[in-house]
Amino acid sequence: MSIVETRSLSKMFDGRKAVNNMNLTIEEGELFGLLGPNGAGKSTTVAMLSTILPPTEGTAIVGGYDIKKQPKEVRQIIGVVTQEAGVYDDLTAAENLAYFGKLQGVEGKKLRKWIDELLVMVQIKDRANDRVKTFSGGMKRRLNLAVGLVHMPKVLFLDEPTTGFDPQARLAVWEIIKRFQSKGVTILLTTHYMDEADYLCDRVAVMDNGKIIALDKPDALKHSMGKLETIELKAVKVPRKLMVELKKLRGVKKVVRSPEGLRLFTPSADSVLSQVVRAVTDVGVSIDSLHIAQPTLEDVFIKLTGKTLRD
Amino acid sequence: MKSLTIADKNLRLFFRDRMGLFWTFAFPLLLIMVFSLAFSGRGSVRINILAVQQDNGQLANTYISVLENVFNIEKLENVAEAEARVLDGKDVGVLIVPSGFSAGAENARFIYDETRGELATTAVQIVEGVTQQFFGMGAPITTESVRGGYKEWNAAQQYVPGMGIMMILMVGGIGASTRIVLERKTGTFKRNLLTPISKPSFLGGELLSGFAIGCMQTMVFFGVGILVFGMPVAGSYLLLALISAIVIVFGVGLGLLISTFARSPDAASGAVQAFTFPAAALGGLWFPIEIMPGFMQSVARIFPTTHAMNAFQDVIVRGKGLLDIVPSLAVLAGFALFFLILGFLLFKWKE
Repeated sequence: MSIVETRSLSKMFDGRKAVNNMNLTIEEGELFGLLGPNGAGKSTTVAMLSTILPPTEGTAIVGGYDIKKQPKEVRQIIGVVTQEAGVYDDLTAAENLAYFGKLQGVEGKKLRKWIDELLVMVQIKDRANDRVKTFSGGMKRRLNLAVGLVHMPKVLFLDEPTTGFDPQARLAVWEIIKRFQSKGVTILLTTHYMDEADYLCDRVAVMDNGKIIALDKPDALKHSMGKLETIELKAVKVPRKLMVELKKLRGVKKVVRSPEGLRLFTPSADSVLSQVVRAVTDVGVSIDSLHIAQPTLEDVFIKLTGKTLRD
Repeated sequence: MKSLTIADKNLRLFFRDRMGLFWTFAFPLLLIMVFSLAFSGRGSVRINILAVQQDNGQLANTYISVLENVFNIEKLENVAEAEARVLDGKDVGVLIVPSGFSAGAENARFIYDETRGELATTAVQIVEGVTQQFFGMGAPITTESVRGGYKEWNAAQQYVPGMGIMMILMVGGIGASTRIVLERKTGTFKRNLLTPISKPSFLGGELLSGFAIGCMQTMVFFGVGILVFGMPVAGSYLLLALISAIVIVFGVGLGLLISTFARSPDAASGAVQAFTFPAAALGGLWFPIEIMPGFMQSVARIFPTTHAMNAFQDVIVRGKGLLDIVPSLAVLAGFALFFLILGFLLFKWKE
């Protein structure tokens, strides 16, 4: 049964379509990912679904309520975790949770019990009565996650919950998100980290320029790459000439720049590997590392758009 | 209910801001103390008047002794000398009890320096009031005004309400405006938006917390004024509370309105001060309005602070009742509601 359904949802900013005719459904209990680079329209979608940004066209139904006609009802059943930690620095963690819980209509023992559980879940129970201004950035963001859940929402929108986190902190948040999902909460996660979407999401919609360009389970999306394998080449400086030479090699289907160097797509990595190494050394580029990888969601994005998620 | 939750949060934040507490309570008290001491000519809050008693009958003696319960009376022999002192501005007025007063043949005369403003008006009203109480209707007293030059007035009666109004407006205005601007900047406003509360609930919380802080300020300022500076209050304390309540609402309304256009806490604070300082100076909060030139006194009438100060002084100094201060209250309440409603209407309940 679907709990979120967008119907031709669109948002225009200064004549530019930030979200363009979006139609998708999210099933109850699902962890759904919106994957795309910055500016793809992910946060705009979340802002519209959470009723704080009116759509230019179309609408969406969240938990049976229309975001345009019943915004108050929608806000009662959703939790939102924004990119910035919107918590009061001079209140304690417990006070922040109590404040937002009360605004959501949760009171008394039920609220206190749930706050205790949440503080344990986001691993700040021992700092519950400390003012938030004494917290590290990671602790604030974890508290922010808990605030989004303080009223036990049916649907949780997580907008780039791990942006700027170190790998260890990201893993901790991933585990928290998994625990949220195990409580039966439907989650819509926006991210530009392909590994995050791959690890967490039941289904992923790949977004670019306001449009959904692919939507499926992560494995299915990766299989859509066909039998292509990826060669990841890490090098400090990659001249344009090298890209041209690599594209000329037989068996190389596509060459794109990545933040660390290059990615090559080929039906048989083993058979072209030696030619690739030769071409690289011929132009005088020193190789930091070279390895063959299975396709990732980033590769799916590259295949569909010709650019990386961080372009 | 949601407004109470928001107000509770605001008050917690307020009490944890030590600097804010200083500006809210300690700084105004410092101002009241400095101004009161600097402009106070005497420690006593009783008004000094002169008396020339030319009738030594029992009635005259009793009349003077009744007045001595209210005034500090310095007795002189010579009418001319007494009048000269009033004209010099050394004393606010002189009561002359002529021969034949006890026999009912002559009226007493109270000659006062009208340039002493509030003090003179108070003295006249007290003399007339006491005389009427003593003799009933048709009291044997006439008053005459002269233009002298005053050099002193009851400082606490000026500076407790004066600095009080100014600092209630400043703290109410700056508190509400900077808090809202900061909430918008730090993302907590967005968090509030994402909950199922309404704009009236949010602004109701702001008004409630601002009102609570203003009430605390009022109690501290008037408490210190009365207990430490011995400020006499001739009228009703309830009326003082009523005027204070309207001033507090005005301050929060001012802050709310400024929050709708200020883009940073500094800009919000600056805008509140840009309004409050001229309104304080011209509204007679720093110095009695009577010392300003005539045209400036007319200009002062457009400021709500003038009407707030008038209402306070009517109650504190002249002991007037509700009906007497209704005109001042109406203007003040009009300003307060205008700022509050305009702020409410212009307030954007979105990011």
